[in-house]
Amino acid sequence: MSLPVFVELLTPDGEVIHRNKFTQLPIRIGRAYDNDIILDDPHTAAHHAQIELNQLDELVINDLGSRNGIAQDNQRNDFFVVDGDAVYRLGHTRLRIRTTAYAVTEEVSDSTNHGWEGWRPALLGSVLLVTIGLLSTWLGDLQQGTLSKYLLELVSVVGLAIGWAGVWALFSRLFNGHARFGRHLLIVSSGLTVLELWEFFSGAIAYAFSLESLATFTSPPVIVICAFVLYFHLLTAGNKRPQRLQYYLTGLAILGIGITMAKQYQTSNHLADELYLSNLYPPALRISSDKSLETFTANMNALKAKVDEERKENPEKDTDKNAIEKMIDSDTGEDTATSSEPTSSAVPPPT
Amino acid sequence: MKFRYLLLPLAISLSFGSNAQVLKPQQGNTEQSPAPTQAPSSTAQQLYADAQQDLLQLRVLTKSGNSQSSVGSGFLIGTSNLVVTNYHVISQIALEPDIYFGEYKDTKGKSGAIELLAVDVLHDLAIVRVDVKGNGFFNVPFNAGNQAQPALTPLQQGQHLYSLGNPLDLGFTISEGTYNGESHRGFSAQLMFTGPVNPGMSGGPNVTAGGELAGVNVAHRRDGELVSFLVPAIYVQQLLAKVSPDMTPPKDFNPTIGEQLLEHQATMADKLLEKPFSIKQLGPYQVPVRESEQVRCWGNTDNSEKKAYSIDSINCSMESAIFVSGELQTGHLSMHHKFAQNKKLNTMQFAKLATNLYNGQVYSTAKSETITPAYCTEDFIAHKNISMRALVCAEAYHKFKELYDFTLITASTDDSEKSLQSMINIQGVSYANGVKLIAEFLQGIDRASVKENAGQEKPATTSTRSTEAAQ
Repeated sequence: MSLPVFVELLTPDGEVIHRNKFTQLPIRIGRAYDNDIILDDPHTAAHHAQIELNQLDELVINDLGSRNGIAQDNQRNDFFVVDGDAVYRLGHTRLRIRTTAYAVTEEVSDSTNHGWEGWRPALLGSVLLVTIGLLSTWLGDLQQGTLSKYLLELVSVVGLAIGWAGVWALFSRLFNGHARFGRHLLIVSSGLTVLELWEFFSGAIAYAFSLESLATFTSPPVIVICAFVLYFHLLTAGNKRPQRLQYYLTGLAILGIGITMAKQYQTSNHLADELYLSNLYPPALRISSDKSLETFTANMNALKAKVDEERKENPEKDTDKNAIEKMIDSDTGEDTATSSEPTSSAVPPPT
Repeated sequence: MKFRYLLLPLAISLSFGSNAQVLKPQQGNTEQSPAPTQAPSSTAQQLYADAQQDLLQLRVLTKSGNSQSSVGSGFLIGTSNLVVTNYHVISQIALEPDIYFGEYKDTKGKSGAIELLAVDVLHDLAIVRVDVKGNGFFNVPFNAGNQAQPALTPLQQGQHLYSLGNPLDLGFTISEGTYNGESHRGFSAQLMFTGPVNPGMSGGPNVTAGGELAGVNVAHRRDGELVSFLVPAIYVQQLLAKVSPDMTPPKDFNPTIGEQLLEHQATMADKLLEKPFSIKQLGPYQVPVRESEQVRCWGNTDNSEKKAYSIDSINCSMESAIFVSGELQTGHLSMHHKFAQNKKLNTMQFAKLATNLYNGQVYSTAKSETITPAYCTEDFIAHKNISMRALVCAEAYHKFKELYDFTLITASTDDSEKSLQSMINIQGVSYANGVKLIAEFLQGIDRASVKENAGQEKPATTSTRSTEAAQ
């Protein structure tokens, strides 16, 4: 048995609130003031538990007859042989017991580039932002706009990014004590850059290979990119469980994609955001081959079956409505005879 | 480019205020009836005095709210209980008899129910039955069945004609004008009447000074002055030939309307395809257009010095369409060609311009009760000297069998400095005719072989027949 023994009080998330070092056994735990560890938890007994050695020289934690007892993984027992990785729950209090012999896990390699804070990422982010902003403004500038137009466009993009990064910095500062504004700015700038590049290149690839779905499903990639940006923002803001965060964000992204598709389907009967591939590029980017007019006509003829399937001569919705109308009619049937003098209503003019 | 409007009252709800609502038959009567002792001093006065007993106002009301949904005019034929009016006046009763019903009101304020007997969607006519009989002012000779109809006295240009009806629900009126020949902008002729015909007068009679029926008020042009249209009396004869005063009307008019639309689309497609499309030049490209009495084309060039590109366009469109309901007008065709040429833009920027022109031209909706969502096919196609991106979408009509809408858009993909974008939109045709028209249209898009045009910047030739485009 290796003394001293450390008893650690934990939060529900497993973070250490307080660490006690003991060089002598037994260690008494409870609410009463004659204990070695005094608990403020009303769900524990005055003398709740005791850590000691058993006949086999093993370290054990014993229940001293408390009402709520001791549980490990929700299994209540009178005593437990101490395991350094286990968490014991006494009432609402969580404990972990380790001795000097406890073998800690290996050192985690530091992926945080500590020199990469402050003005450096901020500068890179700004450069990215300005470049991509200018590029996309130039590409869409078909009226040969003046310098002021470019500046205005830049100011709005940069302003938006700085505002966004600022909110995240505030958030980080609150929860983590470290604003990391530069990093947040870099993340949002990278996100915007990836979005712009994706828009351009996905369109180009769709055009080159005649891949219609790449061009018509526009929102799912945007949602995925947004999820990535959120992930890095949260990580930078001090999230300690990247694994769990990944699950959450994946779920959120899938939900988002599902909702947009359902909405799209309701309005247009198509899952895609766009009805057709509409991004045109110079002929040099074309790779796929041309079809003949005959093939195109054949495809057009094949559409007939699909549209015919959609036909509803008497939509069910209509018959329901009519039934209700009829019911209302029978109520107000008498009124029909006494004709009032209503104003004429408008009817849209045909040609 | 649509200038012609049927004559239902258009948004007269607010501007007239409460006074307009009490201006009902009672008051109308005092204005109308000339003092019986006074001898009529003009033809119009005499005509009105004779015709007023057979003149009716027709109103469509909702069953649930008993509120007025549209009003028009009508007239009793001979001494029968049959009333002729426009189809568009009573279209709601034909399409949704469960929701709407009709009512007539004569010049004395007496009212009663109407019963729809027959419709002629193509010429915008309908016949309804009422519980009163005519006094024999409007006599239209006709032969029952499918025989040839008795000839009517031909009208002379400049001859005086008189339209009767109840404009804007204000009261019965008579208006004088002149006959000015036939208009062939639709697939069946209409008479041009230079005189005031206002919303609400739809379905009212138009007679000669001798009291003979010339036609039925149907439409006027909003961009012109006193340019009105009448349905020729011959179609009234033809429709009267199909009904009898004691017939049982069909329960559901949708199949009848569907058949008439199908018949119309066949005529329309035959007429459009009777000869190959004429070819026009847009830069190095050749584009198909159809210019005829029914389809009119306009050209436009946007080539200002300040712009970094120029756009030439040709738009062809039929000026008439078949009115089926407020939501559905069909039997229409339009073609558009846009030719963009780069002057100062980078190649990528020009591609962006082409994208903007090509984008957002076709929609699909799952919410319409008249048409299905669109189904589309798209591809790169090569044909003769041109390669292009093409998209075609088709929609079916829910209520009418074998009728479809088509939209084709194309964008040339063979030049980084020039872009030709074409569109054809066809409404209310059979699938086979739609495919035929689209294939014919695609055939017509071509490019003069590249060598011929090398170094030669031809100004785009566009149609200049735009004299009547009072835009």
